[in-house]
Parts: sequence; C-alpha cells; structure tokens
Amino acid sequence: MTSVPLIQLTGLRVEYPGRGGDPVRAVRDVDLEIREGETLGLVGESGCGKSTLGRAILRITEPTAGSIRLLGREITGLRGTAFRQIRADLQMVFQDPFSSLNPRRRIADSVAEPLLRGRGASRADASRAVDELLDLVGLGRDAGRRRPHEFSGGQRQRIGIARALAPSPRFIVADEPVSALDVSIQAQVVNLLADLTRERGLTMLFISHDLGVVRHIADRIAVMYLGQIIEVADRDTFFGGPAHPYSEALLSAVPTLDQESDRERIVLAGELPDPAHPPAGCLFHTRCRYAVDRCRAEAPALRPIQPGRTVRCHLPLVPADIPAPSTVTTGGTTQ
Amino acid sequence: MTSTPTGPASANPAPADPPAPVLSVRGLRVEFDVPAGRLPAVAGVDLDLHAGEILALVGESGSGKSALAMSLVGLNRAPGTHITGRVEFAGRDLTTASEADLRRVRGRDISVVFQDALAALNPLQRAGAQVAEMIRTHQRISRARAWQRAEELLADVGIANPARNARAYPHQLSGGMRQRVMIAIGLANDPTVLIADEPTTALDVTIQAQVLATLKRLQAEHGTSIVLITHDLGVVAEVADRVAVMYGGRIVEQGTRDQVLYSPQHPYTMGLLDSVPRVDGPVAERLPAIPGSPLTGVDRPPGCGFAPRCAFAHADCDTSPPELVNRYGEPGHIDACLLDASARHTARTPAAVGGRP
Repeated sequence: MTSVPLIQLTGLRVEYPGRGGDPVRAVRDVDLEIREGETLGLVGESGCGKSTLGRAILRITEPTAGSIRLLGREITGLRGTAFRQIRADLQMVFQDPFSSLNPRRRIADSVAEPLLRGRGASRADASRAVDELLDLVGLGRDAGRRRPHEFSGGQRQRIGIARALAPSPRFIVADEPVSALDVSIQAQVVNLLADLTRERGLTMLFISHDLGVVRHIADRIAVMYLGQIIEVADRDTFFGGPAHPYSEALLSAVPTLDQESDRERIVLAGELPDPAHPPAGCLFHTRCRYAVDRCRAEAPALRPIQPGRTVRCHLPLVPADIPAPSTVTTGGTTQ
Repeated sequence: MTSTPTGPASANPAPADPPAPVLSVRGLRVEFDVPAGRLPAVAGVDLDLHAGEILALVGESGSGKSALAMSLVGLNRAPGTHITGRVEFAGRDLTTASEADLRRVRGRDISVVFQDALAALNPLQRAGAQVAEMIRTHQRISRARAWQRAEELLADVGIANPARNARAYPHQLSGGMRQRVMIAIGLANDPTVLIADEPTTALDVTIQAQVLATLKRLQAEHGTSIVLITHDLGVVAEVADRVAVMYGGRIVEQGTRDQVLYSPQHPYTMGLLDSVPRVDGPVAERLPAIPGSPLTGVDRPPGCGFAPRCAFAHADCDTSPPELVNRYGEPGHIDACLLDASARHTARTPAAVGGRP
C-alpha cells in the first residue's frame, strides 16, 4: 500500500461512436491499481468492457479520457520514441495466438521482433534470447525454425507467451489466453503463466470470463459490469463470499462439479442493458434482486468496505468494517 | 415411445427389462480424407440413447464427438467422408437412408441445435418466421397457426415477450436469446431426439444457466431425448443423466453421470476432471494438467489412444485398443482401460495423472 503501484488508472474512459449517434461508453471512469508483482484477474461477461480496458492500458485502444501511470509516470500523452521505449515494458498475450502471429514468418523471427524493435537488441543477442525463451515455455529451441501452422493451439499460445516475454516487460495483459484451449491443455498454459510471472516477478492483468481459471492464477479479482469496476477484492476474500450482488450472481451461475452442492443458483433476470443507454442510478439495479429505491436514483461509488475489498454498491452483501463516507445502512444478506 | 402405466418406475427401470433405445449406434466409423491420409474421426463406436434421457458426449478437440453427432442425422455425407456401421432409428439405418428420407427425419424426429446460433439463423428473416417455417416444412398447418405456435415455442424456451421478439431479426437479439430461438426451431415439431452441439459454449455463464434450465425443462415436460455434446464437465454435472467420454474417436468410458463424474474409471476421465479449475474447494498450487496433446492426426497408436499421455500405461496398453466393457465399475459403468483395481485407485489420487511434477 505504501509503495507506488506499477499501474495506476484514474478516471480511465473509452468511448466508441454508437450506431444511433449516442457514444457507447465501453469503459466508464475506471480507477484501479495494479501492484508490482501481482496478478490481477479481471472478470465479467461479454460486452462488459474488460478487453477494452486491457487494451486501453497498453494504448492499443486509445483512451478517451483519464490517466494511466506506470510507476507514477503518466503515459497517456507519450508519443514517438518515448512511447516506444515504454511499450516494450507493456506486453500483451492474445486469446487467439494464431491471428497474432505472421503465418509466413519463422517462429524465431516473430518472437525476436519485440526484442529487436522495442529494446534495440543485436541480432545475435536476440537469437540467443529467443532460444532461451522457447526452452522456457517448453517448446524447445528447434521450434524457432518452424512456422505457426505446424503447431497446435496450446503450442501457439506458448509461442504467444514467449513473444510477450521477449523484451523482458514489467507488465503483461493476458486477454482470455486459455479460453480457446481444451481443458487439459488449458491447465498446462495456466501453470506456465503462473510459473513465469512468479519467477520473473512479472505483474499481470489476466482477463477472463472463466472464474475457475481466474481463481487459480490471480492474487486479486476485479469484476466489471457495463464498463464499470463493481468489486475488487483479494482472491480468497472474493471467492469466500462476494460483496456485490452481480459478483454473487456470476459466481452462482458457474456450473459446479460438486456432487452435493448446496449452492443457490441465482438466475439473473432480463438482459444486459444497452451500453449506449445505461439505466439511471446503479447500472446493475435493473437485474438486481436486492435493489431498493435508492439504487434506482443514486449511483453508488466504488468504496472500501473491508481491508482488501472495495465495492460499488449501496447494500453490499458482506458487513462493512470501514464506515461509508455518508450515512449508509448495510443490508443484504450477511453470513 | 410406449409409456408404462407406473410413472415413477420408468425413471428407474428394472435391470431385467431395459427399455429399447430410441437411437442405437453400432460399430460406427467416420473417416475423412485429408492431405495426410484418412483421418479416423470416429473409430468404432457403439452407443444407445434411451427415451427421455440427457446423454452427454464429452471430449476435447478431435475426440470425434461432433463427427459422431453429425452422422446421427447424416449431416456429414460430403465427398471424402467414409461412414461404416449403423445408426438405427425407428426401425431403419440412417447411415444408408436416402437424402429424401433423412430430410423428413431431420427437424421432425431428430433435430440439431448448433453452437453458433448467429451463423445458423437467417439474418434476413424474423425469428418467429424461422420457427414457423420449420413447423410448416413438416406439418400441414396454416401460416397464422404456425406463427401462433412459433410464439408459443419461443415462450416455452424462456424468451420474454414472445410476441414482440418473434418479430425481431437475429441481430436484434442477444446471444442467449438467439441460442434459445435455435432451440425453439429444434423443438418446432416436438422431436423424439434433440442433438445439441455445444449449445452453451459461446454464452456467458449467467445465460448458460438459463439455457441449461430450458433443456432440463423440455426433457421433463416433453420427454425429449437429448444428446448434449460438450467439453464442459460442469455442464455435464448440471444436466446429464448419462455420460460417454470420448478420446481419439472412441468412447473410453460410459455410465451414469454420478458413476463417471464421481467414480471415474479411465485415467483420461480422471485427468479431465482434475484439470477443471473450480470456483469452490481448495485452490491447488498448480492445476493438474494432462501432459501432451490430444490425438488429432491420421496416425493412431495401435493400442489405447490415451496410452502416450497416460502415466500408468504398460506394455499391454500398446497392443490393441481395449474393449469398452464393465470392469471395475458398478453394473452399467463401462470403460476401455486395462489398468487393474489398485492402479486405478492410485490414478484417482488427484494430480497423479498429470505426469509433470
């Protein structure tokens, strides 16, 4: 808490021109800190803005407003050489590694590229580094001579990881990196990512719709709904019992393999609201089974309620140890 | 099918008098011509679907689960596909049925719901019209009556405001609603069998929960027999009555849901169950993974297809593919694994299957 976070987002906003003329706010004024060395799991359903947020942090998608600080240094305004230098510190692992690899290039050249371009490494140094990286991700250096189509999905994701690691970045955004993989292969890649981030002290934003995967790799969890962060909590705190009604519904909807599960299945009513015309008050109130009049009128702020937990809800589902700034009653179910 | 007068007994038939299966697969092989040779997508499968049950076909990429399901309704008869064996339905073999016969069967007796509803729906036609068209293809009924029936079906599959949503075009509906329109089309003629190929894979979990609840309800209310093709063991746990696990084109284990999920006999099933990252229970330091990759090429091992990835394989495993028979499981629980009881016990210890330390 005392040190400067590796990544600090303040009021980060991304808007797209909408179909009807109204802008669609994909990311709504996100405040978020990612600490050095941690893996933050970012979860939410399709269209919640999690991928857009991940891309905006790397400025693959330019934010409309707000600030991104890397170790305290503002990077939103950086251009040219200054940005290219920073860019090598910020890398991305994509869901579909095939589409991010040039089919005609040898693997070794694809992996070396960010090292040559971002770090200005010599050919000889880059080639040595690529050999080491291919060994590290379990493919072996001989893989460098081959081309993408010769590899299976899991192997291609290993190539994608090697490529992201090549310039020795400080921060990696992994966007659904294992979603397209078979479950037996998915486990291999999750383990690989966990090992590499730990061994290299890497900081990672791990974006996924799969709460089970996130639980196995993340130190903290952030949940998005309609472009907003609605809960951030330490991993065990979160899975021990989410504080936001949407987190609760999301978690309860995951099919369980437990033979005797007493989990209550919460089926969310209705559909996701149109992001171009979000509801007034709390954005989740239209589907929330605990909503009261206040939720329909007044938008809740993201506020700390317990050590290691912030939530954007007037009536969080766990008792607030930290008093709210205004007079708020704690409601919902407490266990 | 024939209903027994004693209702509750039919849910748990006496072993002495097993009901005749609705659909019966015998010795099915499906091979595709590929540049490297002949790809054995389905390499010899026997399978029965019983009346009113949800049978889950589980497997990873290349396991043959989709190729198997498509051959149940003759949907893979393109040149370069070689099908042998039998698919018996209502007294005939669908692998040799004429295209005209198959067209009558598809959509009326057996219907298929695909994973990608947006690709399967006509973008230029209203949702209700697509359901009504399927009804009128197989039944002599007026346009107005078919439209009315379409609205009822949309309501049946849990679409809110069916009168309005029947008039919507596919792009105006959410992914979950489109998938439910597909299910409504599948149910248009009250089929005996519904084949659902990864029907919830493209959906978010909250929507998936709604669609699975819909399938369960249809099974209960209409007695539809459902073949559910999925790679998601959580989905299997949620809705299946019986499970067949496929690997490399063969069924390697089959039994009731509880038998397969909670007392797995085949090391592949065990490994698959272990490698699912769960949202409850203890968090493992490392996810148990199965080393290696699934079988996808034309060359197959002479023995058990899983042997190259199996930490417990021994010399006998490499001679010929093990038969799918009852070995150490409860009656009706069959597997294709040569391991003895004690080796199975060892294999069942979590993380034992994954060879990687």
